[in-house]
Amino acid sequence: MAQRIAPDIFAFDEWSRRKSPLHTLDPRAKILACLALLIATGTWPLAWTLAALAPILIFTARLPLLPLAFRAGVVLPFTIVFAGFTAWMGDPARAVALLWKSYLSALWVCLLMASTPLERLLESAARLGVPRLLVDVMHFTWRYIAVISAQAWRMRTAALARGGEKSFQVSAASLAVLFASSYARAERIHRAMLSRGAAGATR
Amino acid sequence: MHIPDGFLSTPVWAGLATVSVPSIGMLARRAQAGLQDSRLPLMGVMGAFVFAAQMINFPVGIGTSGHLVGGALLAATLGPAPAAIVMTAILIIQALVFQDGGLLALGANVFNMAIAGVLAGYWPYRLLARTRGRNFGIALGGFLSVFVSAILCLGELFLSGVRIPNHALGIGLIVFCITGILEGAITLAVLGSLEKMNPRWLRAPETEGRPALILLGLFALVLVSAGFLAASALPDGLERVAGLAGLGDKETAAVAEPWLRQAALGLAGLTATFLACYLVGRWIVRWRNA
Repeated sequence: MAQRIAPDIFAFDEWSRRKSPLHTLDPRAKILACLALLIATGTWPLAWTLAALAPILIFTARLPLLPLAFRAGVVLPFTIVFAGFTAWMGDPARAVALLWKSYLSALWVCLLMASTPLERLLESAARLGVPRLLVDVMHFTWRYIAVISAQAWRMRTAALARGGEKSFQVSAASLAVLFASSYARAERIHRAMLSRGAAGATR
Repeated sequence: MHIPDGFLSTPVWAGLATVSVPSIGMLARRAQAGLQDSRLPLMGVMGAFVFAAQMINFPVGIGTSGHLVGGALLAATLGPAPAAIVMTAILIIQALVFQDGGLLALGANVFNMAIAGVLAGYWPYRLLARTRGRNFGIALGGFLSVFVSAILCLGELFLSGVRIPNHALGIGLIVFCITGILEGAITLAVLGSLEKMNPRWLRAPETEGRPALILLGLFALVLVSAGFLAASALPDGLERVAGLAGLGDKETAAVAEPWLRQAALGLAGLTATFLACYLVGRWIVRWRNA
């Protein structure tokens, strides 16, 4: 997880702000198209033919083919373990299907994320009927992941600099400190919102 | 265990989505009803906190370490409905940004971790909060939140036809037990430190009491998990039952179609269980209010 909260998580952020026909499409259409592709990949017996669509869409979106294809490979470690089990249990056809179906599905989601900024995606999700509270919580969570993670990282460095005694109690105490400072940060954020005239709930 | 897309068969993911979507809608309304303005940024920042908390390792000896999962901790500090919403937000962001779990499988993942996991983490604490066994309740909640989610996940994979060799399943169960115990210990230790810093962070459980109902719900959750566990551990038994029921003999039981039927059957059972719990709950509420 430590490596995953690296600048890597902002790759989508950069890609999604480029300009292309796919980027300017209404996010609601892209969400529905993505779901349709996912369902087709899961159920259609000839779904492997959809793989030909991937490079076309990536090219239309003017996105880098290899980094995006590599990004979707994040699902493979989990899949390989279970495909291995399934092949071991005498069902190699299903094992192969698990591998390419999960990879292709991840690629569709990556394409959606790389062509739509997350905040626009969340707004469109709200307009498609996702509860407002859930969307607001996702906005806040996404905005503060980097902030709180950086703080956790600094606390870790500080603990190492003090001699890095490793024990269960020390970890628990530092997690409690991180909780306390997150709580205080939430209160500051709320006051900042009030002082800018926030009426309460976002609409 | 976040299930990626491509693993679950259509009846399983579609069925669980039809359970999760209205549940989250209901929980969102419930969380919104009791929400003060200042709680919204708090819920969001707590979502980010759970992400960041995974960077703090807890040494458990022999060179290995684990980290907080967070369902039970959130439930004890924010209350169950807001905790479920925060966990759902985390799962959606993980599916979108980290490819941790699929988009179609989101219904299943939300059900396992944000609904069943949070409730299994909250109910023991809720039941024992006012007794001497409070700390046991917190630890048990941490354990159950992880264990119930993992077993449900395994059961859903099994219903979808993903087979796991028996020894791998045994090792997996041991790992889940250890992860669950670790989660219980972390939750208890962190809540202990938090309570020393500021007792008001530990949210007092709601006072309106329906312990019998909660016990029933907890029992149903554990029962469903145990049923899944038995089904995964004894596939031959299930196949024999399927054979007896005229769903095909042992040879064809390995082919996709009877599995599809079994998946539909299992899902119908799961839905019926929760529908029954819900109806009984409604009935008790009405009976109490009358």
